[in-house]
Amino acid sequence: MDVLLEIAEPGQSLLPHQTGPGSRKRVVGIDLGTTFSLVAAISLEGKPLCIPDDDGVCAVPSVVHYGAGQTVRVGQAAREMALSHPESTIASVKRYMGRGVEDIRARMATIPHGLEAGEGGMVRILAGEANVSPVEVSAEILKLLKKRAEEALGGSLQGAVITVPAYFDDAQRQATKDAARVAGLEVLRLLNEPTAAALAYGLDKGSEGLYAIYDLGGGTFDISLLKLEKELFQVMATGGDSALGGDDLDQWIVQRIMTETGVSDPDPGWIQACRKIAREVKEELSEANAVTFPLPGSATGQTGHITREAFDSGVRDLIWRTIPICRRVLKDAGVAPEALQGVVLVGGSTRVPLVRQMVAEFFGREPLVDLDPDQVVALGAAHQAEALAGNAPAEMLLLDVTPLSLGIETMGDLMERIVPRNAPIPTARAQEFTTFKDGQTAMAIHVVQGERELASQCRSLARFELRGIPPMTAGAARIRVTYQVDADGLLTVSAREETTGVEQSITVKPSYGLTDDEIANMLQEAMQHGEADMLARLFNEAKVEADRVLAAAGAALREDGDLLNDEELKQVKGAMLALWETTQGQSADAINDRIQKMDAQTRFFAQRRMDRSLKQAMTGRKVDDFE
Amino acid sequence: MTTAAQGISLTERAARQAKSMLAKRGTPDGAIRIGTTTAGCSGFSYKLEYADQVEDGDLVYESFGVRVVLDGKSALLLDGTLVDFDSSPFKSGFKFSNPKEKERCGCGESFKV
Repeated sequence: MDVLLEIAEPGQSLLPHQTGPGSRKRVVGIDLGTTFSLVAAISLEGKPLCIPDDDGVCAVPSVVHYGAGQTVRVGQAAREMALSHPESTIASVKRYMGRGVEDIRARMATIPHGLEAGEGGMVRILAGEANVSPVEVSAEILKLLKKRAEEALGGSLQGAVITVPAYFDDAQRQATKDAARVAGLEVLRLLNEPTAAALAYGLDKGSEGLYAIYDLGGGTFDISLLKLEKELFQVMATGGDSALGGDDLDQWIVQRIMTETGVSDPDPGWIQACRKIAREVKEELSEANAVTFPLPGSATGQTGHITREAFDSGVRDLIWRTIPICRRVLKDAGVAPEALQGVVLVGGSTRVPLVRQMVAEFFGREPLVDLDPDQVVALGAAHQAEALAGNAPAEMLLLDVTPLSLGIETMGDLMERIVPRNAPIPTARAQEFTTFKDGQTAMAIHVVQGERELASQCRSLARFELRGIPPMTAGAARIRVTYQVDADGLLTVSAREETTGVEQSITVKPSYGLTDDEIANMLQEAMQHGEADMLARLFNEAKVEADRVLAAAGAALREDGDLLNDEELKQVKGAMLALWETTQGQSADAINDRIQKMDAQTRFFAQRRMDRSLKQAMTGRKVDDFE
Repeated sequence: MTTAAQGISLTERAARQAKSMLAKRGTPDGAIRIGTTTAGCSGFSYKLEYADQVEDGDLVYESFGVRVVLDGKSALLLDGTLVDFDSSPFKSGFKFSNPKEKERCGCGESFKV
């Protein structure tokens, strides 16, 4: 991923993975829908926008396909598998979220997958070779959206607002949060879908009162009544029909085509082609008064013809079914349609002119339609995420700057800068470090100051040790080191192991006993030794890597040396010796070359070790386990 | 001090953006400073700042009318680097193409030579 840089004021560059005052957090809003899901964020110009794929398409079909050999397809790629592999393709998983098996069987007529009871009574879905929970399936969709957003925003996400239907109960909400956690997303808040739509229209800044959100999606209809009071929305009442949506309108067109062509027993391929045409015809009828279209499977170029009038009279009864539901919701809340401040349309099906007309007639006012009804929920969620992240440009009070860089000693006597020279204070910057050795339970923190590349040539300010790191493989522990310089120039260094929360800290005055002349001297020296220091740094970095490689190879030989015959053992040891010899020299390039050579020369050994550990993992289990 | 053989250059687009940002900042005749810091998950990372001062040991280049200042130490790592400007609805900024760069860490924030 390319990283894009801004021009910073002198001395105010942020180091990688650092966030400073005023920097925007990368947050998104996600509409995790039954048929489609979308992700949106605030653009550089301050407008919420949905993030498209490379082809410019924003909506991701909420479909996940589990193929052979644990391959998982998500979105359009999965939807294309639905026809040929219905049993291993999961659509509309949102209907399963937070529900038990019996609950789902009672609610849904046809279920293309096997279901079984899982942990805590929650359903598990048998999709081809996979046995997955709805949480895991939803997480796959979220992962795709997360990846897309991270590429567009240029870095890892720091939080997301995810929308849920207003009627979702605690179990369904918890399941949605769990899915986000599995996908590696931090949930800033779950937001009700109708509230998100209202926020997208900025209704929270408008007049207090009641608003209706009419949401006709692909397969579901929802009506929600929101009450706005002091810029906060409260859901007053909801209603809906979980088996009514745009798909039913498409179905009417499909039926008509079947009648016209005399196809009575269509194969699945014909139906799919026909549905696609029906969708397009429906969309075109929102603009045009009549549509002529190619009939599916017709080699002779036969065409069909549908007028808006015919379509309207055909689907009128379907759309009319939403009106009594609206009336009941208003009645439950004890409100007359005229008492509403506004009506918002959500969902692609509300583009159908007849839907708009019926809604306008029932509520006695024109509904809000300016925003794309497919995107409005995601856009509102992005708004909310931005507000929760506090992404308003922060005023910065410039007091003073750090005269010399403050850093930490890392493996190989290297100085890693945390707060650079000339950074305005007060400031707080954090960076993550990890362990170098397997089972390492303590880490020495050596706080240094200066501009040289090697820690030993910098000024030592303080040392302390962080103990109580749980033993893990090298590189697994996450130790967050924070350097905080207050307005008085006092430096507090704290180190915290993220899994256990063990923390240690120390406070020093970096300028103590330093005169201006000494500071000038240190800068001068760094300049004079610049090139030599840099070469020393490159060499030490390479040497640290070589030591790590040699230690790993030594451990491998102790464990699995018996996999090698004498000749091969000699070859591996020879490669190790050759690498070790370069670490006694002066050249970073020589070490790096040798590391690559050794990697090539010992690849067969690594392969054999992998085969062995696979075999070990499989022995002692029943044959059944692998079927 | 080694002098860089090719130095550092901006694309026309990057120069135009730098010029407009310098003008907006109230220093239309100012320069920008490009450098490296030793931080990140693997090796070095790039740094881009306004340059109010040219210090001893700095190298100065000019690209499409924009002065680019480079400190002697970073010159070792940045010789031949081309800086471009890239923008999309959600992100914009300067992008470094450095022939000396051998690998990048997964997040793209830092590089090795």
